[in-house]
Amino acid sequence: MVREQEFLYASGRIRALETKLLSRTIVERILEAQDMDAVMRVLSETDYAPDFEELESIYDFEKALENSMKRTLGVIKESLKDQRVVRFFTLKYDYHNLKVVLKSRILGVEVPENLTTLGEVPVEELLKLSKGEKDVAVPKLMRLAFERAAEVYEETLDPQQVDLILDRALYEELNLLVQDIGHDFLKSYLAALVDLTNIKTMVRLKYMESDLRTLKKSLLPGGSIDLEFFEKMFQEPVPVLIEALAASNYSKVVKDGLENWVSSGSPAVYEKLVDDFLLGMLRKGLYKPFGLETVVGYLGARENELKILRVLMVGKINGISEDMIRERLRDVYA
Amino acid sequence: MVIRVNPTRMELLSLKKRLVTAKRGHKLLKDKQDELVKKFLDMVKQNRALREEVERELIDAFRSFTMARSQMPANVVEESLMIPSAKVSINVKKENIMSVNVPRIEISQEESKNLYPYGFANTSAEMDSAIRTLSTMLPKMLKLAEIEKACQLMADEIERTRRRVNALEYVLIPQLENTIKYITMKLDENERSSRTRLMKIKEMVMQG
Amino acid sequence: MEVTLGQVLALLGAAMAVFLPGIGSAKGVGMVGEAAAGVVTEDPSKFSQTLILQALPGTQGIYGLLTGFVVMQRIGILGGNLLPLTTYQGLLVFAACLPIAIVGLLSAIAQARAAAAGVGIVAKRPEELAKGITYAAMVETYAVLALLASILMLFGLKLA
Repeated sequence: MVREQEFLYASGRIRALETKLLSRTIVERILEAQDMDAVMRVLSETDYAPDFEELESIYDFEKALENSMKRTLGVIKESLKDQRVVRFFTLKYDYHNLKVVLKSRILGVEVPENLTTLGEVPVEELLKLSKGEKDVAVPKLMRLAFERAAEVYEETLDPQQVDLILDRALYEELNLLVQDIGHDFLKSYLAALVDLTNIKTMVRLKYMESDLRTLKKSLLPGGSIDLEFFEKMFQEPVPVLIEALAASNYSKVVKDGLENWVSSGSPAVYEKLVDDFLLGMLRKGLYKPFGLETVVGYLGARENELKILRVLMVGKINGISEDMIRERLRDVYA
Repeated sequence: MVIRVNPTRMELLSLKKRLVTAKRGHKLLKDKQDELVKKFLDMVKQNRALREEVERELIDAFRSFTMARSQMPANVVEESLMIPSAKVSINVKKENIMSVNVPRIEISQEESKNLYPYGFANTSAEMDSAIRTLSTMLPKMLKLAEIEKACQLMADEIERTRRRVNALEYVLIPQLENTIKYITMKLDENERSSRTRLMKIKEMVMQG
Repeated sequence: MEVTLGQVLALLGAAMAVFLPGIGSAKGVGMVGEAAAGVVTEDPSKFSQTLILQALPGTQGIYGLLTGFVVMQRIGILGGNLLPLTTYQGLLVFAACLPIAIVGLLSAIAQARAAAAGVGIVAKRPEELAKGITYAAMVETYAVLALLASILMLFGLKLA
């Protein structure tokens, strides 16, 4: 169990940092910008200015986003004694690197550009692990997951299995981490994240005309909706699922999102509503004077901000229409 | 123009035979050309329709892929698609249309294999439809390549046939006809001169 | 000189009136200080505004000390000749110290939380500092009431 007082300094710092988050106005201005130069001008007024100034080409904008996230994680880490809360956010990057390293080994290539620098386990150690060296500084759970994924790939030669096994391992470890931190807010956040992802996965698999076996392997552990529910719903049409979830917390997201998915064939609205719902949960951190919520809320808000910028940048670079961008544009936190 | 030949009766006979063959060849080639042009126009029409369809669908596929890309970090997209899960092999055969060898492309796709090489936890569902559209594109694009190549080959063949028809029509046949005329005239002349000679001799014999 | 149980109890009361609110205030000031340090790390210009908020939970400690002095004066320890208190008299003094001792401790921490929230206000809207201070200062009322109760009780006791 963590004590609220541990988050006082970080919370104070975050209160000041929250003022620098992108506002609705900035997002609108980027959306309405005529060309990339105009986009850059708007960005130069924000906290992202230094990251974007370094870029050689606007096509490298992911680098800028990654650097800004790296800075945020650094600031929060140095403000906390107990960094498990930050680990809740960085763990996925390590598992991403794990996937890249394993897939590189399978293909016999090196693709350093697919790795992320946001993970906490050094990439060199992961590479050593993939070369089969014994003495590597990789946490045990990750090592086991890596070995299991490698084994299953050799049996099935199906690259999807690699992702499925490592995704599951990631969420198992996240569950352990959240249990260990023992904070209700984080528990309910993770549960909602898992539930909404599982609902999405199930509908995706229905569209793919996949089977129950794949569904069982793809569902993530730790949600508040038990997995039998999904197995039962898998045979039913989507409206039955919407009906069945009408009494849950997610009723609105599920109803609006999935109905749109069924009618338009595009999951964009559901995905946006899910992110907005989760952001709504995180906003508790905005109103709490100090505590774990403030830290989790801020880190979640930063991730959300990267999503907003990514949609905007990709949309603007490729000349996607404003409507299509807007449909995918997430809410802002503050 | 006239072919340089000895104006003999033998030559005349063989030239006449050649002329008949040339005329028959010309007719055959002309028929072939007409048929080729008909087929070609058909194919071009088919080609254009397919090309428009493929282009439209490609735009859709790229748009949906771009939108999927906008929902995930670039390295996650790359990682998701690092190892392709569906393998496609292509077999190119030849087919004869009006003596033109056009390619026939056959695709064999492993049916049982899962099309989607990635997991679901961190990927956007928009990726699925992008992958699905792109995968249906492949057979169509190959079909398009096939038709386009066939059109090209047919156009070449039409051009070649046209040249041969023209050669027959405007060069060989008139040449043969002229030569025949020339030999006939020459032979006639020979006949006439020999006849006058004979008449002359007859006259001299009568006077003598 | 014989030491009576009453004297011990009275002195214990005085000690409690000083140390419990003292702990509360120290903790409270520390809490607000931490939050304030966080803000100042990002924006050093907010130092003076946050300092005011930090000082707010410090008053309980002063009230406690004041109560302690009153007790000391009443039982004569300041002058050097301690009154020979009976056990009951000692208990009365002890009881009179309880309001400020307990309310001081708890209100200082409660006030610190409100003040830390005030620090958040300063971080976002420095012009609204007064509102942040007001919210935190509302908690002060109850510390003052407890102080009043303790002091009135102490002056009301007949010890000589």
